[in-house]
Amino acid sequence: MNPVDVPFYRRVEEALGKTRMRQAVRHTSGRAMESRRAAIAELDSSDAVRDQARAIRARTLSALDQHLDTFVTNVEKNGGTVFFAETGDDAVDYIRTLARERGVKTIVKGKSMVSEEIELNPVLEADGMEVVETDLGEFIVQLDNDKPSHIVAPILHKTKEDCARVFKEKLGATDEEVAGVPQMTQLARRVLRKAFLKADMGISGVNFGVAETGSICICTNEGNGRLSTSMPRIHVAMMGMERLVPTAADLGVMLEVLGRSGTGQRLTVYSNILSGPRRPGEPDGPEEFHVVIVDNGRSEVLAGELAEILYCIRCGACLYACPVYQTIGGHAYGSVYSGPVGSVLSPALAGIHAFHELPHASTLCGACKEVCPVRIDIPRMLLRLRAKGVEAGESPQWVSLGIKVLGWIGTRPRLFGLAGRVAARVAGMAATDGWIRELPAHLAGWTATRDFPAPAKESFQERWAKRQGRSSTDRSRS
Amino acid sequence: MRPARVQLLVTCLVDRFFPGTGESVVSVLERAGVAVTLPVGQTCCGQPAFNAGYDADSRALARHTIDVLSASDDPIVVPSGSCGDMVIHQYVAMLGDDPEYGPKARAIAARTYELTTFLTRVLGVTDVGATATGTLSYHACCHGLRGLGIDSEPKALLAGVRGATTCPLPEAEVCCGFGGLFAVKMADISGEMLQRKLDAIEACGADVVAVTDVSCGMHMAGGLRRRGSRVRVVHIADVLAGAAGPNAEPK
Amino acid sequence: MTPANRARMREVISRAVRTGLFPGGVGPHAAGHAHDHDHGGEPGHLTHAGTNDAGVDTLPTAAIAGTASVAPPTDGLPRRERFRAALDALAGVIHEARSIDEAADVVAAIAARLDCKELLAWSDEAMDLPGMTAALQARGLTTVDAELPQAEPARAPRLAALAQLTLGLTGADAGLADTGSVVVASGPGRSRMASLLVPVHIAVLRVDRLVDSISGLLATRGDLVAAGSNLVAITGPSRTADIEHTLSRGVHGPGEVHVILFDA
Repeated sequence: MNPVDVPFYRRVEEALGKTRMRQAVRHTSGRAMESRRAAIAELDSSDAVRDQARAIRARTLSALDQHLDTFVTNVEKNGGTVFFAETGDDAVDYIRTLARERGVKTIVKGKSMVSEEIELNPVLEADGMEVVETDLGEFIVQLDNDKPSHIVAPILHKTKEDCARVFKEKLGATDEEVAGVPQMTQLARRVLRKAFLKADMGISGVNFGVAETGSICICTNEGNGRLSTSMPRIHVAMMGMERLVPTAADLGVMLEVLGRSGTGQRLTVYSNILSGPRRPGEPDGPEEFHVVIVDNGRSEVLAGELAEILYCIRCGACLYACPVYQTIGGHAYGSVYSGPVGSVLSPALAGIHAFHELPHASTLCGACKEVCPVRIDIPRMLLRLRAKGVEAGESPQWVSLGIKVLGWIGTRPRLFGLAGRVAARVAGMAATDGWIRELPAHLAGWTATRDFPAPAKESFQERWAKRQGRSSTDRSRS
Repeated sequence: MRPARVQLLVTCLVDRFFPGTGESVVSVLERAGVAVTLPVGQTCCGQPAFNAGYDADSRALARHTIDVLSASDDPIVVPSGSCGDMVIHQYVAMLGDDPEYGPKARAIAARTYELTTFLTRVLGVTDVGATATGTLSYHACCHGLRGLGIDSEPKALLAGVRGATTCPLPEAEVCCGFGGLFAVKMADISGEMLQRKLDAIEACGADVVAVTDVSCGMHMAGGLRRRGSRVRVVHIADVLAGAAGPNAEPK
Repeated sequence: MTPANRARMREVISRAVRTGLFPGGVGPHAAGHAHDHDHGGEPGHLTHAGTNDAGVDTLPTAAIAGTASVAPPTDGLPRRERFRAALDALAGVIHEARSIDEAADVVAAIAARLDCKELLAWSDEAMDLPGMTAALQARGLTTVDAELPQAEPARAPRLAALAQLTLGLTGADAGLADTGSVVVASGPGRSRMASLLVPVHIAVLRVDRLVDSISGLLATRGDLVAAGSNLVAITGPSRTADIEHTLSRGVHGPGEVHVILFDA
């Protein structure tokens, strides 16, 4: 997984300049959070349910080897084929070989974050195949040569006028056809229906694999998830290896929280459980059913202290809740996985150097942890990644110097007091009415938008000691 | 279980930048019938180092602070949600396995309270004899809110201020954008988040918005000053001590 | 899976789980802190019950795995009424029938409004509605053979023909009262397309097949998952909110969903 080529701070600058995009993100995040809140509140004892969901994820991952093995056995029993792809390239190779061997010309795709992570589409297109994204948001992204900005709502950053423009430019749509959201939806339906009917292969993601039944569950609202996995002769499901639960009962618990947390719905319109190819006697369904289990760095994460990030069920709630995400939008993260989960997952999968700024693009406010349906402690992991960044030499020199100084004087109270008095003297020269309008060098960012308080001439401890008639660092009890 | 005496962990920012707030804290506690001592040798709880990923330095500062606070068995009061969270949760997380400092960290954590929690939950008081004029509101600093579960406590204390009215702050639970070093390292994003918070503050109808943390407070106050705003952000201790009616200075 | 591929998968993952940190394994409100686990070398370091972040111990007994309720409050109404309210809120249409003839009347009325004479339907046996096909025929409606050939050149034209149909009719293996969902399993005589390819879908749901929720269903009816290659819970008409979070119905799946509550 590679970060986008533009450096982080430039991406942020670009993002902050896009007022319309930011308004779109703020507006939609707000609506999503509202509907989400109401839906979660409906859960009888929602805290207990989230604990239960968390426990299911923890149990599954801590014995993932066993559960995946059971999963494979049962998928094969159902007549399906499974392939374990250790790297993204392995997964891409499997699929392109399969497509070539079966004479596939047109592929319809449901939403799959994993397929974007491994950059599958460009390879298949280079092989001469037509690849059509069928999720409405992803379809528009594909037409516009854009990238999705939210893991559940890919065009969170686009207004409806943006979408109309895309349809007119890329599909030659008339003004009537893009007059409003219903019209644009119908246009997409007409165009994509042709693709569903002629496609040779359907590629989908997986919300949850179920080990005991050898099934995969795909949750969609539009119906593209059903059509792309029922109409074509071949169905390939791409599953991040951690997206598994042991039993159908466990799946039921996860489904109760997924819709509510992600989209404010009790259930998405289609909770689609697929257990292998068409069976003898069935009138329709794909002839072939393949599950590609993708590792691509997940086993490294699984082995360490960041394994908890793999509990994620990709509901997208943390993105909606994050005030930083709401300010800069998804593209600024430069990764397939953005927002709070992405700030942990991206460096975890691709290494700290590739995404070393992301763990710092947070105030650690904890809103993400508060909304997470499986209670993932994202702030804890952001702090771990920051420490890893320091160890890897990614911390700027001025920060290192500042912290070293703090560590030194902080364990030497007399020096601490002295440093404070010196700073107060120096700052006092730059201050008016106790506030400083311009800080130097690396601190100048503060005073771009705020005044900075000047340190007091006499600290609280110094005043206290004076009152007691002794030195402030005298080690006797005050 | 009403302690007669507490130790004050004043915090480095209050100590050096807002000593008047420290005096307000003492005044409020004394008014509530509790004597205050100041353990000698306090510096910084280590949160800046911890948040920046400098584990060794933050552990050193943690050990120092634990030593300072361990000189007495008295409960500890800290006028900050974020420093409070540091001492109550993160010290144990960092040093829990240390044979010497693990037990000390746990002992300290068990008797440390953020100021508003101490007043309302330990002393059981919401009226500390505070008076003010004008309208008060409350912004929930994140570490206090989500780290320590602080929300109803400051609100109860503000409701107990005689003479003042209170009003809610829209988006009170949305982060102000301070985030420590984030405010400088990611100043652009921080500045934008600040504008959103200040827009809400200026629109809410309050004269004073109270906070539990001077760290977030100085970021918001600095921004309001830059805007030339009439509204002020003030530490809740200053509000309760009567040190910051709508016309008083912020420091 | 080739033996080598399977062995590799086992090797890579079993090695990883031995050292991973997995907080929240058992017990309610387990804290997520890195120190909260037992370093004692057991596989998969599950952590145990703790306190929540306010430092307050808030262990509800209902948080024991398997006993927590995931359903919204039942508000005292019978399943049938809750089902009706839930589906109604999603713009699904609910009808009632107490006999095959009544059900056929409902279907015929919908077909008449749509001006169509053919429909894509499950077999009578699959719908558990003996005589339904005959009753529909008596009302001038023909059910089309849903069998999709597996190979070309027969497949494409057949699919194109089926794609022209407007109306689909299925039974339902279960209904979910909390969400207004109908649950359909694939199998002989049970085409997926009848609830998928058509713009208008009618499902006949026997009221005694109503349960509360998806979690309740999956906990007790694992057999439905195993019954065919596909089990799907359909909750109202297809929809999207991708554009500005504005709701739009009838995207790729049926835009009109009818459920006939069958009580005979």
